[in-house]
Amino acid sequence: MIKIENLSFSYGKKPIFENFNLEVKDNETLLITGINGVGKSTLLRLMAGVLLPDKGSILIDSKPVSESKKRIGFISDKMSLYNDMTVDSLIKFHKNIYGLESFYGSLIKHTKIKYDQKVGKLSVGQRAILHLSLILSQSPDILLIDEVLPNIDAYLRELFLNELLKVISEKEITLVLVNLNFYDIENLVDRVVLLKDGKIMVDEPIEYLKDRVKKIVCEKIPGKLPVIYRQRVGNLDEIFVYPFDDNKEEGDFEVIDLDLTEIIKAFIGGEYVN
Amino acid sequence: MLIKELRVSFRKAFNLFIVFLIVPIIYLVLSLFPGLNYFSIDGKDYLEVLLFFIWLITLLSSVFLGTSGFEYERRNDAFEYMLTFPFTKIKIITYKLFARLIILFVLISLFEFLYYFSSFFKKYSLFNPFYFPLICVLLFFLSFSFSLFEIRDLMALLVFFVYIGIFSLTFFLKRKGFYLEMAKIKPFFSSFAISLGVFAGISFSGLILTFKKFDISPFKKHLIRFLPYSLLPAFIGFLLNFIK
Repeated sequence: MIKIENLSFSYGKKPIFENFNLEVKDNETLLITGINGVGKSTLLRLMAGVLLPDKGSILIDSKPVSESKKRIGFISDKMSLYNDMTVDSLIKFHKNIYGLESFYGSLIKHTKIKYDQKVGKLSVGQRAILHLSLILSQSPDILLIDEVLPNIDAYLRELFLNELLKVISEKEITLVLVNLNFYDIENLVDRVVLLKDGKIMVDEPIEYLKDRVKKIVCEKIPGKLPVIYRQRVGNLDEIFVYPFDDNKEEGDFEVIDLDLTEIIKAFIGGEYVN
Repeated sequence: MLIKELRVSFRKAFNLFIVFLIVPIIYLVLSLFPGLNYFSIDGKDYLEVLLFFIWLITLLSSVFLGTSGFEYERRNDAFEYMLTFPFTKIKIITYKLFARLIILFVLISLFEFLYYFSSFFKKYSLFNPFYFPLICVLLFFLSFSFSLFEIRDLMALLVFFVYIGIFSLTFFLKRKGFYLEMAKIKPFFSSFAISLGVFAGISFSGLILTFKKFDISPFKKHLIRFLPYSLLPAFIGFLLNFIK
């Protein structure tokens, strides 16, 4: 279990988190989202031990991150790797660093990655596949993946996601994703955390959110609804409501179920408007 | 990790070695023409040339090995990848330092060995077997601290040229008779070493602290502000050379 307790972190004088708390259960797939600059990637870097908190602690099964790094696989949005190395030498280097005997090479076969190619010459998608292969080689218990998917072409993105799906179904892996595009990760995610001003605005299981966030289309907005975002489309008002209670709400309006993309869009849109 | 760092450091020193190999080669070529009356082809002279060559390589290596500390990660944009390795950040810095200090130690040992047999350069404090290695080590730590910054080469070379520049000026003034007494090199060297020591000490501990948090921007501002003050002892030492 990842346990973040009373975390404070700032970049210079700009505070990002103050007394932030979060728990991620074993084998859970968590999506962290929020508007740009809210600290999603920073939170992931703190979990990966790349950044150190000013105050508070991040524990992995009661041990500090620094003692659990071998159990963590982290892909940052920069997809940071040694560009000057060839794919082959990077694999050897990575195996050496983590004391591994074998490399998780099954993904590479499906791409056009050549082992004598410089890492810097790979496309973004190929880098993501290589990076995923490297971290899967170390059999991590925790996978932290920053927003890498939007830059990958459709074929490699599907390859990447299918592998993730396979890995989390076969092994007991905790997966934390940071993303702003949700249409292709909906079937991966168990729980959604939405950040706002360094705090958790929403923290719910995805099924609960699908049940409780609804779009209402109407000519006249009914009163007393917990509206998170509204937009005018033609003559009609579209309002996004959370939490929506089927039993309580009645009126002359149409209630529409939402997918994860629309749910997050409603929350994020609400943040910009409000 | 250590092997990678050793390879990078060796390559850096080897490149300098190859570039400055021109110095003994020029000497050898010129010595083939005794009519030019530049040099004799005495075996002892070869030793002096070799000593000068190793002195130059060691001095430059101390700067360039230092600035290469995080150069590879910076050039490759691989900081985050490196920081996910299953070591503490202090261990990463220790590996980097250790690999570079081994190479520097080999060069300094070679210099000390040749110095023992030398006669010509023993007259010059620039080759002092105590001060020279000290200044090399301090230059190395200072340059290493700068290796996290964009301006690392500029800052390290600035200190390097201040060192060479002040010494050359002292030497020049001495020859022109602008000194009151025989130029006392030792005050300059001691003060310069203090300057470098203070600056290297502060910047290196700053490097450790900022590297831990991986946010170098506030430290960079303080370091630049502090630079002129830290060089003050060196200038005091320089002035002391001309006091009876």
